[in-house]
Amino acid sequence: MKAIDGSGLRALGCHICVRPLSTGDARSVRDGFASAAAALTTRYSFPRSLASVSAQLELERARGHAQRFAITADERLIGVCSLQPPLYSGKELTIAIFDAGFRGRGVGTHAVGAVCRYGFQVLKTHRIELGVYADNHAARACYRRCGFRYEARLRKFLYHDGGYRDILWMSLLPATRYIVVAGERRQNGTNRYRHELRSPM
Amino acid sequence: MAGKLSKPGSARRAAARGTAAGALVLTWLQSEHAGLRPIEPADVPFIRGWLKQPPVSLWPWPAGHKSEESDIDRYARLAVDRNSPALIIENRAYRPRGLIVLRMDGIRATLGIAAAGAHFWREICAAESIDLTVSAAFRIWPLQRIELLIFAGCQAALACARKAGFRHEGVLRCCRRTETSFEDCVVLSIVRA
Ligand SMILES: CC(C)(COP(=O)(O)OP(=O)(O)OC[C@H]1O[C@@H](n2cnc3c(N)ncnc32)[C@H](O)[C@@H]1OP(=O)(O)O)[C@@H](O)C(=O)NCCC(=O)NCCS
Repeated sequence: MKAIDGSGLRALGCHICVRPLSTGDARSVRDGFASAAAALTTRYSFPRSLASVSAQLELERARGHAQRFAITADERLIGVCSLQPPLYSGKELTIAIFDAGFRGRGVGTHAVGAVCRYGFQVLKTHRIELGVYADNHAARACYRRCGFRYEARLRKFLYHDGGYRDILWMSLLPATRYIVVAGERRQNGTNRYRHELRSPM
Repeated sequence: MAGKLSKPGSARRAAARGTAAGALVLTWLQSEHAGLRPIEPADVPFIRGWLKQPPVSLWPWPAGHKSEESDIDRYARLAVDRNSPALIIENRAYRPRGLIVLRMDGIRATLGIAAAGAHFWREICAAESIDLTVSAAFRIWPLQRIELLIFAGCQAALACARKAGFRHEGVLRCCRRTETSFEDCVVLSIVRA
């Protein structure tokens, strides 16, 4: 993946870019997750050592296609975004902007859009899905603006801060790629689709 | 949530049991119309035909159904895996009617079901066997949620899951790829009360 500029985000006064993570980002990634800057609305994870984060990034680099991305402001890492193996189908998208000063200013929408285009055009995935807490309004607004649609409320999906929490499940399909098979729209509103690759997203 | 578990069947019932693998095994997973027994490696070739049935429920592994060989290999491993129970569903006449598998993931588990025949979902033993498995899983593990994915077009399987106490949570678009098409899937779950 080539670095994707957030040229529409010039009003921020710095240069926003989305590019694959490299081993040089290991320290910032470790610090971002260890600080729990995004943990209130994502899953907590145990802090990891620099050695293990570096080894993981090295492994991903050796595998070829990028799956994790750095979101940078003037080349400083301010967040990460990824396309992971899915829970259900396609790829699962995750995102966290560690630097709260950059939230609510369009950076998330830019990063999600860039990574989804990469997923559809390069990885040729047929679907991108994600889970979000119902009260994470900023994330929901960001995903909706990128075209994600609500699909399901998964009950008691996670244990978080002293209780079992529901998760809203959303997905994005590359709209022009799938054609609902004629006569296959069912009464319950569900579909069967032909794999018709007319044009990428 | 799921109903009560009945006591193990009688010795006569056990003796009458003739299974695919020729096994005679009595388990506590019995209800009026269904019984569950662990899959044995010798059952695996027998399951081959079940996998050819039109699919209705998604297999509980993310990569999905790859090839027959890989599925058979998985079942052979499941037969000896303590954390992914795989059970043969038998009806009142001790005929094997399908396979039910649980895949654990922390506080969540996913059910996968392979039917021995197209009528399976309309048989009483189908809902009862799901109910038995769910009750047992909540009893054994600290699970909060058990889910089931069913292809949106399979009304009989959806009705069966609802009868077993599963609640509709939503429709996942383009969730499963077949040779010629993508299918929406319905996600249903049952949660600990
Ligand atoms: C979720 C996240 C990636 C979004 O990135 P972002 O840069 O803040 O998103 P954007 O600025 O592009 O869009 C945010 C939208 O939410 C809206 N918003 C922000 N705060 C909101 C609130 N409290 N209530 C409702 N809407 C809100 C903004 O107005 C904007 O919508 P608009 O563009 O229609 O005006 C970022 O907030 C973040 O990293 N949060 C912490 C980690 C996290 O929650 N990750 C997601 C887990 S699913």
